[in-house]
Amino acid sequence: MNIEFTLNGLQHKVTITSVERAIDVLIKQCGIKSLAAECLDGHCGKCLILLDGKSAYSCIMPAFLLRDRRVETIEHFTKRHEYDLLVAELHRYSSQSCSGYHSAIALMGMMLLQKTKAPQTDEILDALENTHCNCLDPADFVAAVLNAYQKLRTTRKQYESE
Amino acid sequence: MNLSEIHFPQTIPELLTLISREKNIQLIGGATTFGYLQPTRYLSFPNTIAITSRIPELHAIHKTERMISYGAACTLSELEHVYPFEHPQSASLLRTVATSAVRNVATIGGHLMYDCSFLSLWPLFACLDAELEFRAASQSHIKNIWYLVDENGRHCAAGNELLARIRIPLLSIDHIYIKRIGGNIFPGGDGAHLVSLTSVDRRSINFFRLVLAGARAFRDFEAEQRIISASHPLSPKIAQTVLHMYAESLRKTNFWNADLILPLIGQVLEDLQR
Repeated sequence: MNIEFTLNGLQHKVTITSVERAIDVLIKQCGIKSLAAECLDGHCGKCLILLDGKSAYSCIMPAFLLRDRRVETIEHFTKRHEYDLLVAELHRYSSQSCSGYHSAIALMGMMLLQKTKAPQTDEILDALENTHCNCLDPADFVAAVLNAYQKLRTTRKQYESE
Repeated sequence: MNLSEIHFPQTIPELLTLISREKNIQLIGGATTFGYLQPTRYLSFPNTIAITSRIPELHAIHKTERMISYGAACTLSELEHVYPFEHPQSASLLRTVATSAVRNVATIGGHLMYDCSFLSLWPLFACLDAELEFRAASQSHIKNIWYLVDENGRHCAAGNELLARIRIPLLSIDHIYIKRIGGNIFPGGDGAHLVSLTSVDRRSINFFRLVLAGARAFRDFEAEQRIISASHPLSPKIAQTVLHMYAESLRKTNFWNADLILPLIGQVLEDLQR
C-alpha cells in the first residue's frame, strides 16, 4: 500500500507492506542515515525518532503506523542554531562523547528544547532513558539541556527586544 | 512472509463491521508488543489488520463527578496526568511499564488486552474496580476487569468484540501501596506487583483492596471485608487477624511464596495503623 507522511518537514510518499518496520522504510526508502536497526526490540535506542513531536522507537513500530504522521529525525535539527548550542553544552558537561548514541541523545535534547515551558528534571531523565546510553552521566545531560534552554531563551528575548 | 490487508477505520461502526466481516483480524493500537516480541526483521500479522488510532471516540477521556473513562486507544503517556495516575505512586507504576518512547505509542487497550493480562497496570485497575466496555456489531456490554480473564491471565472476551472504553469509579485514595516483586514482569517473567488501596471516611475504613498479580492474580475477599468498616487507624488486633487470613489464603493457593509476600502485606497493614 502507499502511505504519505511528513518526514523532516517534507511530504513523503512510500510503498510499504504490512511486514515492514518503520525504521527500514526510513533508512531504505527515505535515506535517513542517523538511525540504526540493531536490536529490533527498542533496547538500543539507536532508532529513536520523533513521532508527532514525541519520542518513539521506529524499530518496534510497523511502517503502516507512519501514515499521515509527522516524523522527525536528528537530520531535521542539525543545521539549527539550537542544535549547535545543545552540542556545545553536551561537550562542556560531558568529557566523554558517546559516538554510538550521539544522534539519539541529541534528538532527545532537541525535543526538550522545543518545549514552550522549561523542561523539568524528571522529564529530561525520562528522555535520556529512551536512549539507553550508559556512558553519559544523567546529571550532565540535565545540566546541558537546562543550560542550553536558558541560553536559547535569553537569545530569543534579546532578539525580540531588538 | 504473510502479507496482511491493512484497514484504517475512522469510526467505531466502521471498525465493528470490519470485525464481524473478517474472521482472522488483528486490532492494532500502538503495536509495540508485536514489534517487541517479534525478533525477526519482518513482522507477522493475521490476514487482516485494523488500526484503531484513527477513531476519535477511542481517544477521548471523559470525567464526571463519579467516574473517569478512557478510550482504549489512549496512549499510556496521555494517561499520565489523569486519575489515578496523578497520584505519585501510580505515576511511578505507569513509568515502570516502559520508557516514554514506548508509552507515547503503546495504548491502554493494548496493555490490558495483551494475551498475558496481569501486566503492570492490571492490579491497580483491578483494585479500582475498573470496568471494560466491549462493543460488538449487535450489542455492547460491560465487564469488571476482574472477570475478564481466567486464573492464568487468558482472556475470556469473545473474538468479535472491541474493547472500546475503560471506566473507573472515582475514589478518594488515602493510602496507596505499590510494590514490585521479583524479576521481569513483561512478557511472561516471574515478577509480580502488589497493589493496595484504602479510602478512609470519618475515621473508618470504607474501601480496601489488595491485589497481587504476576503470572496469576490473587485477592482475598474475606480479608478485605474484615478491614472495611473497621476504625482508622486500624487496631493491632484486627491487623493481626487480617494478616493471619492472608497467610492462610496465600498458602492455600500453593503458588505464591507466602514468606516473601506476607511481610509486604504486613507493611500495608502497618501503614493503616498509623
